[in-house]
Amino acid sequence: MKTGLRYSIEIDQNKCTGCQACVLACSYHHSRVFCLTNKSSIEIFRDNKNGNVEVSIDQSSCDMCLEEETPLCMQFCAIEAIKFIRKRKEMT
Amino acid sequence: MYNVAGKVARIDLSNKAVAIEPTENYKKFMGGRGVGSYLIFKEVPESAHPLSSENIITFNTGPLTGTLSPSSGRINISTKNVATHGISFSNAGGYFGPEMKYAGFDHLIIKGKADKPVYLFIHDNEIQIKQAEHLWGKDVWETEELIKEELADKKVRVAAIGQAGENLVTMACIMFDRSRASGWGGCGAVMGSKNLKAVAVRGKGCLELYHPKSFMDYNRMLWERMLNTNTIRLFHEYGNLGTSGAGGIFGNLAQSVRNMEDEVWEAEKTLKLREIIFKEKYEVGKLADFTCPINCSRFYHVREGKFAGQKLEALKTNVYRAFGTNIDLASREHILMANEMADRYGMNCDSLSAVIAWAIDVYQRGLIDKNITDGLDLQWGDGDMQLKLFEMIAFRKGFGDILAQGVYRASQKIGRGTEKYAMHVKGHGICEQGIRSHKGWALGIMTSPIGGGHLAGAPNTEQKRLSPELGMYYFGVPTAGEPTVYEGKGKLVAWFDKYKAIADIAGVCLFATYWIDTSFIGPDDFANLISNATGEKLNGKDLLYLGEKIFNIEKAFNTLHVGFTRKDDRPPYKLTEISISSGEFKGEKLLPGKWEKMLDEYYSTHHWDIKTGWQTKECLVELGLHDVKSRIEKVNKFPPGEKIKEKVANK
Repeated sequence: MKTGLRYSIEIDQNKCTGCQACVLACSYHHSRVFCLTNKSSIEIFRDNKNGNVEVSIDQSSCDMCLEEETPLCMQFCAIEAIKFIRKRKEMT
Repeated sequence: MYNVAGKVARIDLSNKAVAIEPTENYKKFMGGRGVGSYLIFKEVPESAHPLSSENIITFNTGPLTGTLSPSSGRINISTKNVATHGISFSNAGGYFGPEMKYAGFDHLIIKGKADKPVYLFIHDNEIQIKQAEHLWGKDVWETEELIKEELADKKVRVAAIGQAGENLVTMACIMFDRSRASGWGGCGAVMGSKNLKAVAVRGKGCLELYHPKSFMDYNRMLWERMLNTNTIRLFHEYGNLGTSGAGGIFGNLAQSVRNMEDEVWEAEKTLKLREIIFKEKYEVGKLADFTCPINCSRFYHVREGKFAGQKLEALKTNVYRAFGTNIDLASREHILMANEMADRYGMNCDSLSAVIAWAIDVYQRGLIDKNITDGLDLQWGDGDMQLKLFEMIAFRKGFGDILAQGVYRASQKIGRGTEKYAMHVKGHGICEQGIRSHKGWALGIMTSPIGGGHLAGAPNTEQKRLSPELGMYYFGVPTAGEPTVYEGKGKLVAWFDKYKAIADIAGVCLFATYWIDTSFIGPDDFANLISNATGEKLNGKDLLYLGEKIFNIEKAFNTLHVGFTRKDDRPPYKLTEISISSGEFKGEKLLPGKWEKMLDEYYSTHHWDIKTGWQTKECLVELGLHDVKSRIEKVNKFPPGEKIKEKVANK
């Protein structure tokens, strides 16, 4: 078993205000368009009834905006709820 | 055209017919309030009652709606105003606007009347008219839940009316995403009159930009610029309730107290309603509207007391004023419940407060008694009574049926000297803070084409105490930051008339603009964003010209449909006769002589006639509004002097 560094984007669900700016930034990164579909690696559901925000990131399509200095989603998060995570993980 | 969905839907509810036309047809008026006001002007005949099938109601997105531009999630609603019978425009936040655009439509033009209750489901370039008999009688929150269940999609965005809209209550509004209101002009009653319970949207489309990279670069710079301001830090910390609209963080700024009798509220009451207390006692999360870096919204749980278990997204400054200070009510729980009930019934807080505060005011003055109020003992600060009146108004029960007509008509109906305590502008109820002390603010409210409200020309520079240098630099008005000064305010308000129209045309929240902070989006920023998004080459001046044009179309609609003149731009009795009791602005009121001079300056800046307050032919020609000029000519509503001048010229 080997170990190696793994990079990923994480969004703090408790901090997120549900504004969708990161979703659009991501759809722009992948396709140069704005939308809330699977053109974005991020999906956010704002539960207006209970005040919760549910966040999911498709890590397989997220390339962490390698050509950018900072991932675009982070650049457009007003409350800094998005973090660039580096973890040592087991690799098979 | 780039960054538009490309389609406009015309929906005739009488025939259940849908026709599609290209958005290109309305390019001249760009979008949002621009297209909305133009459509209302062009298509609603003077003879049409606002609640008749001849009136139309339009849902309008703007060229920036649905993009990464800050706070670009607004949806504009334009229709003929139920309270004033003039024009109405108002817009709401939430997520409906972008979703409608992603679903394929930039504008909806709804006319006619369905024979039975219906709702619209708009998705993926398609419009369905669905039966809504099972939803009739339900409140806004229930309606949204039922529609989501029925369509089996929790991501559907819903605009709905509550029972107030169904019962044609004058202050009925349209609620989006449960708690976002397009509040003005009784637009909820217009939907009710058409048997239209709701509009649901779901969109999976994408928006393409003309110049994506430049658009993103500019937005990146703008977000950074905004996030580096103290204004945004304050919003992040204190939310909407920390703004000057709710007396500021410490509650020491001008307020709206007891039917706008005063601007100073007793300290012990004020302190009970500070944002910090709401934060500690009820706040469970901070929320934002679509792509909004400001995040002024908060989610509350009420865990104890009479209304324990309540969960809601609240509490805006308007609500604080309307259901708190203006009713002299310092009970947090009652105000939060009033917030919920106004959302559920679908009623605009300003005009609802105006009629309830007036009723208490005239009852306390002995002008009405229990014979009129159905036995209700109307006391200031009675939270239970306020909630009871909400219900009586929404369902038009007894005394509530009179109040449901709005403060102007209710006072006219009851008479007995109650009329002079009715706080209204052009027939629309108002509830505003600091209106005696902040002269430009007051002028913007009185001259607003929709009948009061601070979303037309009312500037915020006085509340911000903008320095003379910055006032001069941005607006050409060195007195812009001096609340009690009348001079220069006519010019200032005329500037904001056209500037705020741009934000409403673009589809951006006014909180993200110069209105709140001059580091936020200004005319040239709007021009850059719109040019890069759509491909239209524009500068700030072009946009201000368009804003002026739209404002003049709205003014013309009022002249044609109601014939408002200079006298309709004057403040109500209480503001000129009763002065502020104490504090920084003690003794201030609106002085009629100075008001008239301010109006002169305002009309002159707009190139309107000083004597009548009407538009001149010259000003309409300069703006290229030839069709507007012809319509006014037909009914002979140009200033008399101008007519004579023309006759002489013809000879």
